[in-house]
Amino acid sequence: MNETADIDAVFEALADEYGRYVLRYLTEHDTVTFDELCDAVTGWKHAVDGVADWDDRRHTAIRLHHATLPKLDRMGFVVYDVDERLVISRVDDRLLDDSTLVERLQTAYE
Amino acid sequence: MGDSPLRRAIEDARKNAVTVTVYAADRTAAEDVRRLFGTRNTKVEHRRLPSDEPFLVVRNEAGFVGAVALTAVDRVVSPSPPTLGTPPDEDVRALLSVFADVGFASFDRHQLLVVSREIENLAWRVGTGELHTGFHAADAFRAQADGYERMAVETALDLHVYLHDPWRNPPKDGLTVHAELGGEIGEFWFVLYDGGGDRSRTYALVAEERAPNEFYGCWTYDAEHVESLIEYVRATDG
Repeated sequence: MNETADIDAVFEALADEYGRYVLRYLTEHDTVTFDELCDAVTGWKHAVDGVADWDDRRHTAIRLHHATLPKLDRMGFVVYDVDERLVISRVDDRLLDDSTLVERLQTAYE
Repeated sequence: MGDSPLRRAIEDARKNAVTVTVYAADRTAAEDVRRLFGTRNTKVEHRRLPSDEPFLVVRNEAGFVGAVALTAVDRVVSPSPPTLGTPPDEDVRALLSVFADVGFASFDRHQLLVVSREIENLAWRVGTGELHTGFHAADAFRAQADGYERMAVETALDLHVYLHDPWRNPPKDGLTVHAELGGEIGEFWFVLYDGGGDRSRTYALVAEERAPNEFYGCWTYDAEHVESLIEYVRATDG
C-alpha cells in the first residue's frame, strides 16, 4: 500500500471516536485484553464528565465488539482475536513506528 | 459489642475486594491512589495512558463498577478540607462514589474530614431530614460547633451529635447533643444522613481510629443500610 492510501486508511479509522481511543491506547500497549480495552475506552471517553457507570461500559463493549474492532482489524491496524478476547496492535507496523502520527491526527480531529 | 452495626459496617466493607486500575501517563497518580484507598483487599494497578486526563476504573468480582476522573484525588489528599456550609464538591462526590461499600484504610483526619464535609454539605444544601454525627472527642465537635449551630439555624435539618465526653454548651433548636454516652460511641467517627425523604440521597460514613491519626472505615449510599445505622445510633441514647 502506498503512503497516500495509508494516510487515507488512518483518517478513516480515526473518523470514528472509538477508533481514535483504541488506536491511541494501543500506541502504549501491544496486546490488551478486550476487557481492559473496554475499561480504558469507557473511562477515557466518559470519566471527564463525572462517573462512567456500568451502562456506559456496556455500550462501549457492544460498540467495540460489533463495529470498531472488526473495522480496525479489516484495515490491518489491529488483530481482534474474538476467541481469546485479545486485541493485538499492528499500529506501529502500519504507521512505520510513527506512533505520534495517531496523536497528531487525533489532535487535528478534536 | 463486636457485632455492633457500626463495626459490622466496617468489617463487611473490608471483605469487598476491588481492583483499582489507574490509567495515567505516569505512576505518580497510582501511588497517590494507593496511599488513599489501598488496603489489603484493594489492589491498585497502573496502566500507561497517552493522555493528560487520567482516570481510574474500579472492578469487583462481578466486573466493572465505575470509572472516574482523577481530578479530585488532590482535593481528598489536600491538607485543607472544605468549609462546612460550602456546596458539595461534585468531583469529590464522583470519586468517592466508585468506592462506596469498599473499606478504606490509611485515611488521616484531614481526608476523613473531606468525606464528612461531603455528607454535611449535601445535608446542608438539601436542608431537610436528619443528620447524625458521632465525634470521637468533644474537642473534635468543638471545632465544628459553630458550623453545626449555623446549620441548625439556616436549615430545617434535625441535627444530632453523639459524644462520649460531656458537653456543656446551651441547647439549640434543631441541634441535639447526646453527650456522655457509654458503650462504643466514642470509638467511632460517623456521619449519617437520611436524605431528607429522598432515598437516593442517603449517605453514611463510618470510621474507626485504629492507630493515632490513622482511620479505617467505609462509606455507603445504600438507603436501607444508612437507615439501620441511624436507628442504631438513635437507640444509644435511650
